[in-house]
Amino acid sequence: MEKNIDHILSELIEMIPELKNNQDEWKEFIQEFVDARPDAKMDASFKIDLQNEILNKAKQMKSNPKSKKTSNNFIAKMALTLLGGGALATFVIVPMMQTPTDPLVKDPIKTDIMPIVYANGLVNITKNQTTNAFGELKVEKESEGNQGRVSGGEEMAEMAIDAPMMSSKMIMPPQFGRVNYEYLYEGSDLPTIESTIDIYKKLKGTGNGPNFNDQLEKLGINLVDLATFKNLSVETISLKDDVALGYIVSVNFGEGNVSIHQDYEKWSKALCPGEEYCRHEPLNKEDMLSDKELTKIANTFLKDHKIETAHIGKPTIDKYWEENEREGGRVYYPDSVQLVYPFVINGKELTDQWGGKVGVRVSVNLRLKKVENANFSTLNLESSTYESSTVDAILNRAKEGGAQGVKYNNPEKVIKVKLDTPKIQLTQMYLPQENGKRDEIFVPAFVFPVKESDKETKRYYNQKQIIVPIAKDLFATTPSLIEPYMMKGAIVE
Amino acid sequence: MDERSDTISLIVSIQKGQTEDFAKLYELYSQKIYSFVFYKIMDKDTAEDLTSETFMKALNKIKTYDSSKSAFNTWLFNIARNTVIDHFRVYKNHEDLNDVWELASLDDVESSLDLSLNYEHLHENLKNLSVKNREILMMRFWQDLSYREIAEILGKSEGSVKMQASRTIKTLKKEFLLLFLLAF
Repeated sequence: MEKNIDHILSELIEMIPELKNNQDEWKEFIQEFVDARPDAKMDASFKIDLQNEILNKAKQMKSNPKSKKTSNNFIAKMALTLLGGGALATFVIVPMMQTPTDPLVKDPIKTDIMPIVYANGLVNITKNQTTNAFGELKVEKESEGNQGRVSGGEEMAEMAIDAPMMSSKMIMPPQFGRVNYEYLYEGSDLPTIESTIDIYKKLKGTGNGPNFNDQLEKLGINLVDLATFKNLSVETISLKDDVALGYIVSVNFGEGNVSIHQDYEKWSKALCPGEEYCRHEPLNKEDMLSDKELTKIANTFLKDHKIETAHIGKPTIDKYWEENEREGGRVYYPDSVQLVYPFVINGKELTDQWGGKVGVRVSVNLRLKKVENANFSTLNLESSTYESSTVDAILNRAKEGGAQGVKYNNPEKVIKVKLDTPKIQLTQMYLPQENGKRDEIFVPAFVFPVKESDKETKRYYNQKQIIVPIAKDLFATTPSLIEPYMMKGAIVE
Repeated sequence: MDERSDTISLIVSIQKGQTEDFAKLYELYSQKIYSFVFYKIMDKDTAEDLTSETFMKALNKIKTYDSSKSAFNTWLFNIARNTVIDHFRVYKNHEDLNDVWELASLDDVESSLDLSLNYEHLHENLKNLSVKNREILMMRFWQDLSYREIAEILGKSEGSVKMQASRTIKTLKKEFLLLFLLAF
């Protein structure tokens, strides 16, 4: 920036030589002008949405071209003008689209627009050149994210399938009886996909390194000779900002987690000076802050503490009380509200297996209008290429309620669920390992939003989306046909 | 490859029929165009709408883009600029751009931005400048566009843009310092 300011100044001096007489003053003024530039960073979610819109439009134009191809002479002229004599060399590296290997993947469009390597501290990605580097994708059953997310008794079905020593035969009868769900697709054209996709595995333990002693020395820990220990590593560290309304910052190096939370003692003193126990009257509707106010408080916190925001999207705000307000029930207005800024990797938001955003979580205290907690994990990812399924297969799976949609043999009722146009997101899954541990991976998936439904449907179905991963490996299993009652032989041998 | 080489390759590819490569051009230029629009509008939602409109127009016209007439970025900035002008004309229902293209009021700006103290002072002076002069300074100081690029976007000669810039910056500095002194 310094260089840039000098350049601007020298240009001005060239135009008005007398400025040279007090160029320090001018330099300061230019610096002030440049510093006054408002933050015009593009919202990550908007950027993704527009990119998808452009891709779809471009695809339509390709399939329905109105004009003939531009002549090579014209292209050559253009390139020569832009690059001078060196342009011809550029011609041989015109990017070519990949030819689909699967006939059902029509007119493929790259979903990953730019090369897949980020390294900015919060999000770091390395590319493993081996395809299928994480082995066969046999994920844990619950991770498709659809089973059991319906009202009432089927929540228990989720629990049953989640447990590794139980089978789907243990599913308890749902409280609404045997209800099947018929999924109807009512969206527009589906996004197209390439024949291969990149899957990301989360790497752990990146915080420990050979500079451990140096790190601690910097922190002033010299009460013991740390060099006498053979293999020390930093696990966690906790730091206190010892001021009124201060924070405690905890870092787990192994997991890459950072937690910034209120110093309860100090905050209680500030909220209830002189009182032994801090109690308040409950907040009212009028105390709830607008989305704009909440976002401004949270954004300021991230900015003030220089928390990397280049790869996080627009926050979602959990205003769960509004549903109670709509339904006319008793409403509890919270003291704090959470915002979740999703991670965005190659234009796709990260979600957990239930469609919830994975990213930076910030809680705003409504009494103090101040951030009370912020939590996030660094994302150190390794990517590898896997074969995609087809758009038709994905749609069919969505119509079955996702990879783990369940159906009863003799349903008492069938509820129709309408699905809207999906977005492609990266969804979290877990790959079990032989040592009993599990790897966390992020797989591109179609996320079909469930359309707003009537009261009757809502009573039976409260899931917000159906998630269908794109990886072909994940289509190996078929949806379960389940029995409604506990069956003999439910325990897996 | 650098941005210019990438741009050339992509345009060649698009004009040969790989229309999807426009999404890569978008990746290269989206932030620049968004900032360009935002500094004129100072409203996030409107800036998003107009950025979207700009890229859609560019996608529709990309096959007619002729590099012998202008560099790609100035072609794109021109579309963005005309989109902003159209917005103001429709929104304000007015023909004279100087009358309608006001700098957003500080209240409007503050509602969507965290502003440096400097901007508050600067804002007072910027709003007194003509649209063209304000544009030139913003493009050179905030967007790091060269005088040549600015001249191409505005359809003027480089010398004329430089002259306007130097006059404007001199005036602005005087007024800025005066206002700053009065504030304290």
